[in-house]
Amino acid sequence: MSPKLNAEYDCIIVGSGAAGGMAAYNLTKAGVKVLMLEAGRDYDPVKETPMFQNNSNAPLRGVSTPDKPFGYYDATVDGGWTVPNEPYTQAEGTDFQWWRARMLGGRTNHWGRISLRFGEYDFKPFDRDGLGVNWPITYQDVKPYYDKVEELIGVFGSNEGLENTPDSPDGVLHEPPKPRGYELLVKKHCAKLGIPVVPIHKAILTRPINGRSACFYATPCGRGCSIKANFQSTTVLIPPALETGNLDIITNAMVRSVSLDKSGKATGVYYVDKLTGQDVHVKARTVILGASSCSSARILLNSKSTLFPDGLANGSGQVGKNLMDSVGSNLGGHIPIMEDMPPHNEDGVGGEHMYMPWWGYKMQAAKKLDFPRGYHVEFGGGRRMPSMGEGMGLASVGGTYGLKLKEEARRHYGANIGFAGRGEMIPNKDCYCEIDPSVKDKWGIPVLRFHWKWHEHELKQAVHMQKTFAEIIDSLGGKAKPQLDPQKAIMKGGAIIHEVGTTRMGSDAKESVLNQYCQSWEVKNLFVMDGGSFASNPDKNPTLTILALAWRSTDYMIQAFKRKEL
Amino acid sequence: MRKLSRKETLQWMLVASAGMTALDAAGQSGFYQDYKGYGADPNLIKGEIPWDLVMTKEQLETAHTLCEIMIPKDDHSPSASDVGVPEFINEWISAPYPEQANHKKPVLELLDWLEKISEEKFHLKFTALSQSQKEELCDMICYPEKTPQEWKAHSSQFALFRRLTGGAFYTTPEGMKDLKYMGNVPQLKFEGPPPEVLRKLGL
Repeated sequence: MSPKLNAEYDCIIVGSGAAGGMAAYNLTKAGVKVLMLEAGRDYDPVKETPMFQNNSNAPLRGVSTPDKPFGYYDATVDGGWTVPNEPYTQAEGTDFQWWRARMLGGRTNHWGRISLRFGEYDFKPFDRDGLGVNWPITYQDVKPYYDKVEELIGVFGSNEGLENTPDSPDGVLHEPPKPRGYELLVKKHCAKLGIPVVPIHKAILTRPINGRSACFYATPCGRGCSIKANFQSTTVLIPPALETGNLDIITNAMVRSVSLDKSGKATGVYYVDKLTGQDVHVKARTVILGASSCSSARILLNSKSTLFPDGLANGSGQVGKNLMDSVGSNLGGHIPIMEDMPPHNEDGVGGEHMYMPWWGYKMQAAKKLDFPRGYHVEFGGGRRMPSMGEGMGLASVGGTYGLKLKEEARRHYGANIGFAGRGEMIPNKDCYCEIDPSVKDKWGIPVLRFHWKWHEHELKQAVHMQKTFAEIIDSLGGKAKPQLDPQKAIMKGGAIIHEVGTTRMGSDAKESVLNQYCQSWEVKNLFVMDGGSFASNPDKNPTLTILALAWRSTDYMIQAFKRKEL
Repeated sequence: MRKLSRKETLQWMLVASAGMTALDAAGQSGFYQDYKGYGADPNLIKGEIPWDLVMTKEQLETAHTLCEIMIPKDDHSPSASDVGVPEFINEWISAPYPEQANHKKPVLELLDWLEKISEEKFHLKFTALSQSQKEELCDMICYPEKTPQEWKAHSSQFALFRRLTGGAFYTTPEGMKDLKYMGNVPQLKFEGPPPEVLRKLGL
């Protein structure tokens, strides 16, 4: 897309995912003239989503490859752990992975749709255990925006009244899909272990809204959704923003830096038109970065000037620091009682219908656990669409071939469950990104260098996850093989793709980059609305909160525009 | 799928970083220019395979015979050979990606060895052996504890071939039907498990 451009806009938004899409939606509806820049290509899920293709329709049966690391049908364009022409580097001893997408809508096209509200404890973690920092806001500040976001994007789930696991107002949540057989089995056995198993919250419609269809319980969500039953910025936020006539979008626009006037106010951004290689300057009264946590930090750190020698808006020195991901640990098991199951359709919505919200707040308050923060558990398995993994299953049933092999395959199909813990990481001084002193990308833009080290809080939590999964698998009648070596139990930094914190908000300009409205302390017409603003990274996946904070922050901008402050 | 070993990962990273360096210097496009993969933005609806296939006509025939033995036709479904699994294994081992590329040598070695040993033992092509002769050979490499020391490599090659054959077969419409996978169809409601499932699970 390269529309006829205005000479100047009220606002430039860098990025078109959760933050960029939400900001554009709210601003354009209020009459603000917006120019959105997206580093990737235009993308239309209605036309491009491979609905109903089975694995045999894809090269290599759709397995993960370096070109498509989440599989052939994953809705990630020109991205994954590597992006063509856009390297990143790692400090010695660091093993960090950085997932990016280069497409309109960014990573909202393929995400897991898990939409959990942060709770009251989550905004004041330092007050509870003296670790990390508090947010400058409370749950009550964000609650109205969670309500609005859930109504707009459509989230199914239930209100369970659990500790630090907020309910939604009556009528907001869509009805959750019925649990699958194995989900009920896990619930029954977890009850004995004191672990709650309740409907998960996901941004998937189970009733039609706003011209979008309800889920028809087929085709994995990670491919995107041509019937718009799940949330993608490209189906839910960008189309209505375009309808206002107040939004222009330029794709293939790789932002290099933010431009400033002599007084230190942002005047716009410089970007590289990836199709021509030309440098372009576009101007606006305000700039919102929503390029993803690390990409926005990179743009700020690359925007050096005499006024801001250490990078723009970096007087605190916190830009690029406090990088967090979620703690991840997985364990699967074969459950004999699930063998030879009567055939039935178990597809449901994409992924889990149930999950285990963190159940250990009281134990942690009483210092009965050796790690301070919580995790939730996602689990899946059963009679999913067969993949190349069925071949692995055959390997596990031992050496045989012929008719016997076919019998074994029938008996074993659908008898596995996998558990995945997603836990809160506490920011630490060893996890950050900075500009690599020598490496540049294809367009000459200096790239990020990552530093990463898990601390004991995360390592102990990962081992606890393994022990919990093993307990559950054993109680289901399986034989668990937990990984109790912490370095092996925990997944790599970045692997869960929840990187946040690199431009954190706070109540003190000396300790943070942004105020509570995602506004730079130092450059009043500059905002960062992606996960970079997070002061902590609760176990509850970040997207819903990015959306809520972007809505809240753009409401603040709209008021400031009206008061002529911006 | 098997995870990449650390060594393979390192090799892959080397290839990747060499690509980056070249690109920085030359400023040329194509991070993946060193091989003919489908790229990072393939047409998902078409699903085309851009790489050349490596098996000879003879190897493909041997693969058909082996697939026929591994997953034969029965009352539930056709054989792996009938639904294009040998052609898929050819696609797989010909692919430029590290995991698949690592499977090329063992798969081709197995196919060539089957022909060689058939000639030695029975003075026939593997494809021309009787069912019991084919099974005699397969039995010698299917069960690792019974496999003679000098054939151990063929035993793991056989296991790999079985993994690929199984994965490929059970992802075809015929294979999915055999497993009684009933999904991938649109529904107005998700009904949850039927009573017989709840009974089986003791719920």
